[in-house]
Amino acid sequence: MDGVTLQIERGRLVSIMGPSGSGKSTLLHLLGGLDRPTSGEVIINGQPLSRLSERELTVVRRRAMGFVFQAFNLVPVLTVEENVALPLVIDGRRDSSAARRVDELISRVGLQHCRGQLPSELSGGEQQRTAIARALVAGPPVLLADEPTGNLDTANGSMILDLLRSAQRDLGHTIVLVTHDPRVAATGDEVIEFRDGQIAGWLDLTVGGRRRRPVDRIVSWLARG
Amino acid sequence: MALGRLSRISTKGVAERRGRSALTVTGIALGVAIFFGVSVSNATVDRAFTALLGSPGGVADVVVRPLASGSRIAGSAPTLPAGLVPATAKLAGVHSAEGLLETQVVAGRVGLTVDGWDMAKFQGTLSAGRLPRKGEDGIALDARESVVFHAQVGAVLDLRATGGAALAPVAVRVTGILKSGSPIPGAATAVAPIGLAELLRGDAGHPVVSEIAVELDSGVDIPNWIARHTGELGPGVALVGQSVLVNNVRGDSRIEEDGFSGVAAISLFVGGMLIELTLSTSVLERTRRYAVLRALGASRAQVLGLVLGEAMVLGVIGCVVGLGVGLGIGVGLVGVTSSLIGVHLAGIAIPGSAVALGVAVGLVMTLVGSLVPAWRAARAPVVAALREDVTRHQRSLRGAALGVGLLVVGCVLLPLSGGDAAVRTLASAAVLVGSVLVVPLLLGPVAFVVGAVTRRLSPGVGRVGVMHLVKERNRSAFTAALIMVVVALGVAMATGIGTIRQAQDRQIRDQLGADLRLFAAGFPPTLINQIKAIPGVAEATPLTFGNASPYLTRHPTLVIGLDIVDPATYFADAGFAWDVGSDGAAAAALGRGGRILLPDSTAADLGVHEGDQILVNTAAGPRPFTVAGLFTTIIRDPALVVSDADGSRILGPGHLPTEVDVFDRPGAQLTQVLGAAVALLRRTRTPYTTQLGAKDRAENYGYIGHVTRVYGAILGVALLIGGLGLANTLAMSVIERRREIGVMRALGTHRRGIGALVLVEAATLTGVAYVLGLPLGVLLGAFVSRQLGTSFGFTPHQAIPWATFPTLLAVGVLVVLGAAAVPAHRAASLDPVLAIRLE
Repeated sequence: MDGVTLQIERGRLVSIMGPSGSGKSTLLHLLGGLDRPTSGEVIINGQPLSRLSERELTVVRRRAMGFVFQAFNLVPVLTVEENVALPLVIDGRRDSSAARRVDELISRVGLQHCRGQLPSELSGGEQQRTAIARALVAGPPVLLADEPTGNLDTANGSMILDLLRSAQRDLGHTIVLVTHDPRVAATGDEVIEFRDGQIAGWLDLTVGGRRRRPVDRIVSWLARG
Repeated sequence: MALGRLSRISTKGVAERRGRSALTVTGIALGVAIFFGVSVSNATVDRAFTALLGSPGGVADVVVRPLASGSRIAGSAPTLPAGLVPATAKLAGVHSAEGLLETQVVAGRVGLTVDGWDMAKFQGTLSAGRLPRKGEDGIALDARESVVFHAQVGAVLDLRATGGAALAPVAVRVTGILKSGSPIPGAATAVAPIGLAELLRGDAGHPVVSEIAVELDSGVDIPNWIARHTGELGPGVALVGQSVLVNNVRGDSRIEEDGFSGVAAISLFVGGMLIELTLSTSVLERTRRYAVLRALGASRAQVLGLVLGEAMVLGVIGCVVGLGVGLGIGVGLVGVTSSLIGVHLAGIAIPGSAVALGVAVGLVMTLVGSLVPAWRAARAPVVAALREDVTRHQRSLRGAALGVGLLVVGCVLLPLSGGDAAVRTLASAAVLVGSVLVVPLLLGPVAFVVGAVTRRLSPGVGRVGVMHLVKERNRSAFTAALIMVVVALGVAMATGIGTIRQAQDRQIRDQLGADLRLFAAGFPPTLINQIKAIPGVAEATPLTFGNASPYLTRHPTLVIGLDIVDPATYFADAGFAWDVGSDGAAAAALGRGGRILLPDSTAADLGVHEGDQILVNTAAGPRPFTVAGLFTTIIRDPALVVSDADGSRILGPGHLPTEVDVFDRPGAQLTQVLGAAVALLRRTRTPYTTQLGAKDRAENYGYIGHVTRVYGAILGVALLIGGLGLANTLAMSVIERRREIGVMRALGTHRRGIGALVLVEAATLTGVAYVLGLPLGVLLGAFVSRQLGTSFGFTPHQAIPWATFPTLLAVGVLVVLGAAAVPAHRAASLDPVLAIRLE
């Protein structure tokens, strides 16, 4: 990362595009407090992360961040229900409202029929939906998704993107989505292009209030040279 | 509360990798089993000796008995006049004095030792029936003997005395069954009124006693009382503290207990290493999982708790398994101890404290073995762990530097330890831990050299296997260290056994050279001369023995035997295994009189050297004797050695030799000599028994055979653990390199070649372990030899067990093949397409 200044407004879905090694995943890790910048500052909801201790940062990740990974990263020995509930368990929340919240998210992602199954018994799409439910269960204001459709076919990928979009639109989450695929990036409200650790460009897909053919716009924009 | 639910990941994680969990449980169970088994064995021995002190005859504070010892002939033990009993009771500080008369009888063909007592004053616990009354032809039988004879209360046994003149059997009724039994060989297995004992011995009308049990007034200091009254009861009478007698025998079992405890400590170390290895592998496999949990907001403490939680679940399972197996080991060790020290140990003692301690040891071992992997899991950088790049934790050079330091400390401490077992143990631990820490530093260069040989097993891919081993230092180093420790253990044990055997051989060669040993109640001089005159006899030398007694004036608690030799004939063909002195010098010295030969261990305990003077109790009072030589004794109980002239001064006059050692001429037929000796003894109506020298020597070798078998079994288990550790490492290596394997297959490597890759890695790793383990074993063998020398009382001459190296090598090959079989098969069976995939 080299001289990156970026501001993401609440409730927006921002796509970050770039080739391999461009620094987009590093940016995601910095935003999520998984890593610390050597210089500069990451501020989430007005809170500079650099002033937080390791313990405080952990709590921020627990309550203010949700993560969706390309490789799903579910705990293989836990069922769907247990995986979804994991952030609440880590936070020590075991009351009835927590249990209701888990049920709500499982329903939202359409996995009621397999809540008792292990990840090994699920398809890739079902696993990623479980991961999204897990990321949302604690109600974090920010959701960070690293190539969430990278291991999925087109149909499942579309389903995942719909879920993310509805989480932003209906629940008001701020979503940062890392991808190399223009079709996936087109889900967002704006696209930031990364190249060699720097922001190479920014495209607002909501300008004009219309979102017709955002993929074509992205492709031609990327081709601008 | 959060952790309580998170613990579900721990408990489910145990079942996730059953093979690895089983390995971890094995490591825990091994340590707990051997520790618990040794505890059970020690507790059983303790209980037996405690019961002895509380058993009939054990309640006495002091035992008054003859100085002279009897021979192997039953019923030949010297006696004291019964009038000595009231004389003893009159001594100051005596609360009570009771005489007992021991007699050896047989019922049918089974021997029995009957103690005759004044039944009114006898103290013993009955489980059935009553004590026989005075004047009654009845006995109370020990519970164990009642089983042997199938005799309950009311049964009648025909008892006949052994030895002495032929006597008619006496029909005796069993009136009661005694509850407690003494573990000491030759101790009473039945009690009877003293009149019946006299009848059985043929001493009716000649009241005598075998010993007098003295109970002192409370508050009387026993050693002081003995020192004050020694000699007051006449010449040839010894006063011995009862607890000293018991502890003498107890001391023999402590040697075995020390050895078993040492093995238990090593088992804990090896088991702990296996736990660390398997748990490290588990943590490695789940690196990304723990990183995800950290990304979800789990704290380091929660991740630490997860790993420790899984380890503790395995720890509990391992403890349960270990306790069960340990009970079996305890039973086995009790049997071995019993046969080694010749003491009967009835039943098994399982104190609650031993169970609790066994569980505690298992859980602590688990905790110690899991702390480092848990700490690593909690501290892994999240981002790198998500990419699984952080798994290659390299042990720092600081660890290797610490290891070098510990090795130096250990090697310096050993020569300075002297007789201090604690220092020696510390030095051993420093050497072991230090050598483990140094392995990562040495792995690369040693693997490079060893790999030059092992990669020829598969010329194509062998080099890849060796290079991977050199690069994957962390896990490889620890596995190599585990096998290295096991190899070193084997070499050290073999060294120790070799040292004992060498000392034993020396003593047998120098001291037990007799071709024939004759035993009788007493050999008059004329009979000895007749034995010497038998055709084929080169020399016959008489020996007289004193009971284990406090012969040394200034050491009333040192109870030791007394061997009395004829210096004119003993050293002609026999001798001692000298540490200081020689046969010729000893013969000349003893011949002058006023000289004494001491066992090594006794001299070390007393702090005396050749030329020093020590005071010995004689019939005429304490007299100075000059130490004329120090000898090793490992197969016989320690005993002072004096000439026959001095022996009479110590025991008193009138004690005949009870053994004659016969040496035949070269070319003589031993069977003819034996026949002639037996005929002579029968002619003179002398009750006797004989022992061929070859048989005598073979029986002594049987002892070391017991020790070899026990330690060999322990080593076998340790080798199994080493093999399991190696298999675990190879399995993990295959999992981590599946993509690499898939690429190699795609590039045209045969399945056989992939299997050979794993085999080369296993062979190189084991080769490195051997190269490091053999010299470490020789070094540890020095520790073992010194410890054995201190325990058994001899100066060790460390023998490097060259002969065992080929065996160890062959076993190593088997371990490699066994450990590599499954991982090699799995690697060779990998589908290249699936293997190359990202997930």
